Amino acid sequence: MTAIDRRKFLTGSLIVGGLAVAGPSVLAACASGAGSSTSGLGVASQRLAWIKNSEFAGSYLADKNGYYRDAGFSGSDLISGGPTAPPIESDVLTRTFAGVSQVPIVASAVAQGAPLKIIGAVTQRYAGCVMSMGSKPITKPEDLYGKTIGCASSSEPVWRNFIAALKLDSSRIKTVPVQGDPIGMTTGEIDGYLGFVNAQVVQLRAKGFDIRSMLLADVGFPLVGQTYITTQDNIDTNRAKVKAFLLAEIRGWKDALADPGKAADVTVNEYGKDLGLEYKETLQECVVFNDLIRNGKPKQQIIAVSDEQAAANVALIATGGLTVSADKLFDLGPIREVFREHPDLTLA
Amino acid sequence: MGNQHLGAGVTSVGTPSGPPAIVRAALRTTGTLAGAVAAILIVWSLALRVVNVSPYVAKTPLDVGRYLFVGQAAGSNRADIVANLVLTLGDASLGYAVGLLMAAFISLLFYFSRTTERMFAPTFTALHAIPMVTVAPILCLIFGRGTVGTAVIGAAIVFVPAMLTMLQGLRAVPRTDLDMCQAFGGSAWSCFAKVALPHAVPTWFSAARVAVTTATVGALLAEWLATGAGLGGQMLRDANQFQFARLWSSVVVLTVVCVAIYQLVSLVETAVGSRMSATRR
Repeated sequence: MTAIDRRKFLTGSLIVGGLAVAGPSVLAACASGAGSSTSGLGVASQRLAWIKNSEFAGSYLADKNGYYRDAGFSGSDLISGGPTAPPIESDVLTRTFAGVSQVPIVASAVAQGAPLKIIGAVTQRYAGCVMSMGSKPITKPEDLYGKTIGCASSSEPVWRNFIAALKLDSSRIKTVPVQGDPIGMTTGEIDGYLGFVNAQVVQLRAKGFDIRSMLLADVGFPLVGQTYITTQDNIDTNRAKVKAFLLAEIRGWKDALADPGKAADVTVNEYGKDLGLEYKETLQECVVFNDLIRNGKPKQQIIAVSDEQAAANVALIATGGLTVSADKLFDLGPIREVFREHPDLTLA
Repeated sequence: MGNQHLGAGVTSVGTPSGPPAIVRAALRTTGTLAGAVAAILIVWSLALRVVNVSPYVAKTPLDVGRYLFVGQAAGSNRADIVANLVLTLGDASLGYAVGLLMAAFISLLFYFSRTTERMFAPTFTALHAIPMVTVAPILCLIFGRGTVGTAVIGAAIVFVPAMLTMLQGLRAVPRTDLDMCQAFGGSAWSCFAKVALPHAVPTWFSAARVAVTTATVGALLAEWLATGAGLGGQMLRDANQFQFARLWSSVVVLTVVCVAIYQLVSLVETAVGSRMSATRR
């Protein structure tokens, strides 16, 4: 059965590989701006890291504004994640073309031989932050000593890596599992919570709490966040499709940067409709998230990761005990080519 | 005459020829265990072939065997899992003991007072229907995340099914037996101690047997939601750190240990049951 699957997969790859030969002409067609969309690349399927909240607004806009079609796909399939979803890496290895995950988890999979690569990152700085109450603020890593910090199990790998990378004494920080709602922080049961600056921080502030946040990336943990992953096989045999996918994502996120109101609107009213999200909160989330996407420098190529960043991320992972080389974890060739072929994508 | 009949019944049911009941039960237990393991291995292997999950995530029995016994790190892998298993079994026995003690106490209370039962039994049952995941944060706030919190979460899972089973055992005494006890001038207490309680012993052992599994689930929940320690905490981290070999191996070890303890309690249950049920023949 496995053998048959593999064979099917190989034939599939051959077919798509054949189509890839047609890829450049497809790209050329959309570069010319004629808008003539071909569906040669199939469906751009993507496994999201979480439920369909504002974190993926750029992908929603890429879908809504037809950027996947413009890039040569017949359409897109955004597959929601969440607490009960299977691992992202598993889905990317078997079902979907691409996925969104975090550097330490991908690195762990790669270290075990999973043929995956990071091909880009939505945020220049990982959105994880230590939240605390204004009355008992945690503003620098040393403030963590003697505190009880709540952490969802999905964030615990990053948290442990952070403690190791900053050479903090883990025996002086008490970490307890808090799955989801950090409301225990407001009652004093925990002193801090490893949340996301674009999620729980915004939500608790909207409820009227005085919340402080210390972004891990701002205190010596320069992890990139929300990385796009795909298989080595896709990169090797299907490079045109990888590039088309990145092109569509970049265009979607450029729209989200230019108009966070629109990003919040499609999140609340279309893609995340079932979640019952608040527009005002979601807009605030998008604004905060945009700040993480930007690196503050002119002529930024969003989603792209520099070689220095890749090396820094690999070094961070190494402090957590995972040794993976930058060229085993990242393949930044496709996104560089996308920006070379589409100079207009570079921000002003 | 009744006694003669009873004696004959015990010999014909208990020991026709060959080994005594307890030995045969032990043999049967071993056989069941082997059968269960074989069935699990077959279903497991087949299921992995049917579902389309990456082999980096879905581990086969062979992968688990390699992780635990063959690979170069097998020794330290085993030591890690055993260290966490000890913690989890400690948490489980805490919930098991507290839960069963509470269940025994409350079921006796309800046995002697129908009014109390009518007042509280529906509430207890309804509370059990609320998923622990939603209650746990509140329990953590009240009881903390240490031993007490763990015991409360474990006991809360064990308590209700055990209490209902125990109460049912006490209530299921044949009316005629109780009538006879009363007719011969037995007090409510002696009727309970001489008739109802002995009659309920097999049912109480069933409750204790089922509680082995529920107590383990309770311990894992407490570790997931409150302490982050033990196998429960480790398994959640494994899933998020792409350590699927360790995750699957932990599940296997936990299942095997759970089944073994369950069978052990069954064995005690058989031994006690064969003695206690003799009074009814």
